[in-house]
Amino acid sequence: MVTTAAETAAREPTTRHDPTRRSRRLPRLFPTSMPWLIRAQVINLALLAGLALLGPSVIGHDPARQDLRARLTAPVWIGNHANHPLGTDHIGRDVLARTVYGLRTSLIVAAIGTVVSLVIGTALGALAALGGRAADAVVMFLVETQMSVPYTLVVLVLMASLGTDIRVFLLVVGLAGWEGVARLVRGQLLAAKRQDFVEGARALGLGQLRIAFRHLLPTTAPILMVLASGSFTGVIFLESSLSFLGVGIQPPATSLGLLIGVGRDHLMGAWWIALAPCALLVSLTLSVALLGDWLRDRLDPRARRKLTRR
Amino acid sequence: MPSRKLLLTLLFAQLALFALARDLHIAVAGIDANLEPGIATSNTGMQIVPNLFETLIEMDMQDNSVLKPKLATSWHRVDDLTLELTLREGVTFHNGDPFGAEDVKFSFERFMNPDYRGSLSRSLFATITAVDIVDDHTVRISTAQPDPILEYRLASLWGAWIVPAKHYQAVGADAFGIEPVGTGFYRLSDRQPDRIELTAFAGYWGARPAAERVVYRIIPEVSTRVAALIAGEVDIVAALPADQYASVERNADLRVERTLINNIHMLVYNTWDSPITDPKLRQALNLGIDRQLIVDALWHGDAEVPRSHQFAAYGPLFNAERQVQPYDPDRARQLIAESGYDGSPVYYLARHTGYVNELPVAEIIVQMWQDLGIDAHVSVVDPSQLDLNTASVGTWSNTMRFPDPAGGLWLLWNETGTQQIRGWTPRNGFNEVGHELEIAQGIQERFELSQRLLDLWEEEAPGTVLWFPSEAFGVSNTVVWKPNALQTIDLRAELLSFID
Repeated sequence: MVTTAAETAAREPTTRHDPTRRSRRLPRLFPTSMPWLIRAQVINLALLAGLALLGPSVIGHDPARQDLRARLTAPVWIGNHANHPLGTDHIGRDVLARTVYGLRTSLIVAAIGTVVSLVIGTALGALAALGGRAADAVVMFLVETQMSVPYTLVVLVLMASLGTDIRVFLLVVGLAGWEGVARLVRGQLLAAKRQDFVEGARALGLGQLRIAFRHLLPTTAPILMVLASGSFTGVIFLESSLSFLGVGIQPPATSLGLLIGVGRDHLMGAWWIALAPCALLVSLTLSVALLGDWLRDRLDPRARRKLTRR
Repeated sequence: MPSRKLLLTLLFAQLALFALARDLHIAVAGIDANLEPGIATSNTGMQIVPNLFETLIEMDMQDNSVLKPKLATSWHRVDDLTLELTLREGVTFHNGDPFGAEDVKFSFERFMNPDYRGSLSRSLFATITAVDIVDDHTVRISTAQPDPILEYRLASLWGAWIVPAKHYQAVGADAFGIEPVGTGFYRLSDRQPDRIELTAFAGYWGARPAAERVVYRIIPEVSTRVAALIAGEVDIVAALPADQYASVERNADLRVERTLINNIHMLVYNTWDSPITDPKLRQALNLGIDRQLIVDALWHGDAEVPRSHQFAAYGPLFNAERQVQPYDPDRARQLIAESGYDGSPVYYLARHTGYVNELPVAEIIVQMWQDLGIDAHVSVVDPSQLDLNTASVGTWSNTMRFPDPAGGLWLLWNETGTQQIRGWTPRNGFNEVGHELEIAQGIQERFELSQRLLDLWEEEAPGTVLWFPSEAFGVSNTVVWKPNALQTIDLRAELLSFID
């Protein structure tokens, strides 16, 4: 998904700047303007997503199966047999299987959380921009309230009092970034409202709703794309920190954060429990962040202006 | 140059003082918010309470059946129902109040208030009906029935502490729990959310402790606690899991001190409102736990599977022949079939930072039960939500209050104890036998009654014993100190010293 978005997004400006380059060739895997670093991130994300999707069935170990007699087995490269390539944890479960399984949980939570925050943020942002002064005041009040409260603390309290239910958790994680989305969408819509093409649509006698959905909301797409990448990293970190603190994903299910939390207690003796989840978490968030950065440079008109001015 | 000489002398004197007045830093996993000593009877409360308070009679650390004078200098039975104690003179509380008969009377009579929050202490002293003041330093404690083990109750670390009557009544139980005042060799000098500081009590009647100041730091995470020890920030770390022994022992100036404690890690069952109301099913759960395997794996063999709910410290009342709870999955499956278990989910409550190994043990036992065909699940909860009504299985630990079955199984599982309040009504005469045990005098009779009580408890299976955990501490080699089976961190003069 991210790849195609990047492609279309990236192709547009190049073609606009240099119309002679427009060709009828098959779409390339990567747009020519995409630096090698960003291409590497796209490949990395594809690999991680593939691992999360297919990994659990390929690895052949049940991530929940314990073998107390083989607990805290070291990884294969320090002399253990290949049955547990990344070693086992404190109750003898396969670290590789658990890491892949945890990656899948983290990705699913991040995806759902991001979608929830985008949907809520866009809806409320649009309501604020187009729904009149009262709606604007209420939404902006909510936005500012949320912005002024340390959200992790709120989540900790919520999870401790409501119990660690996965549905509550998903909702809570989804509510994490909506206020930023709402503000940006509102700003974009307020700016777009005064543009000529909207005036034109209004002059043609189109209805409010039709203008909103067909002409205004599509202008927020590039911003949402950039926001999604930022929010995705944020949600992964939020999920990981909450699970690390013990109020997120609960055993026997697992996530990258929970795995790191378990590994923390064994860092001095069995560092391999935390190694793979940490590596995946860094790699995942770094890729998404770099890609998001690049997307922002390409899509954000203000950033682009700065670039061309230079 | 006399002035320079004087300065040097002063400097040396000051250095010497610093060297003498060493501080001791202890990292613990947690400390009870309320340190009212009849309420803070948990394993974490016991790490600090014995340094602040004193009992009338003291149990010997090595041989728990030997009683020694403490705040009472002598005692004798006036008749079957009355014990007279002579109190030590010249003892003061940390706030300067003199210790006397009034304080003894108040300390034990506060348990008679039905609203008193330390339910285990209330249960421990339920046999006491009156405390009468004979004179300022003599009291008589009476019971309604003959209580052959009254002296042991008065020596118990789990509630028998003397509190200052006037001060306690003036500030109330809650404020007292935040700033406890006792007669112990340390007084509480500072309290922050994550640290408690004790200072040697200048007015103490006995020997002055080796450390001038003791700082308890609350560090819930194991690895952070161990790191603090290795970095030299603390001298002792408590609640050291077996997996961390190696990382401590790798350092030449650190060591691991461990001891089996008079405490049993337990599972408790909700027999009122849960899928496991049938005793047969609960017996099956008990048969389905391979305790020795868990002891070998998680405790590196350091813990010990008990011979049912018994402590070796019972002496002649301990049955060394009684078998340990067997691991018999085949018999368990058979019992599950007989019980007509319908496959409803069985939830097992566990905390991230509870007893040592609480969560891994939960995950392991749940898998053992799943292998029997039970739909078992771990439910990880915040300590504040540890409510057995919401689940089927909970964790608990049972500490021997004094070396007698009446200070063990019967005290903790009787009808005023936690379990019969929150999830178990015995139907096979458990309570009747328990009451007989309370007043039985002869050793043989007490032995037989206590064995019968164990049989009935195992038949009803309202819970199960897991193991005697090994309590381990990481200790700096500059500190001479050993843990004891009573599960306390006791820092009195004869138990703690420094090597420099």
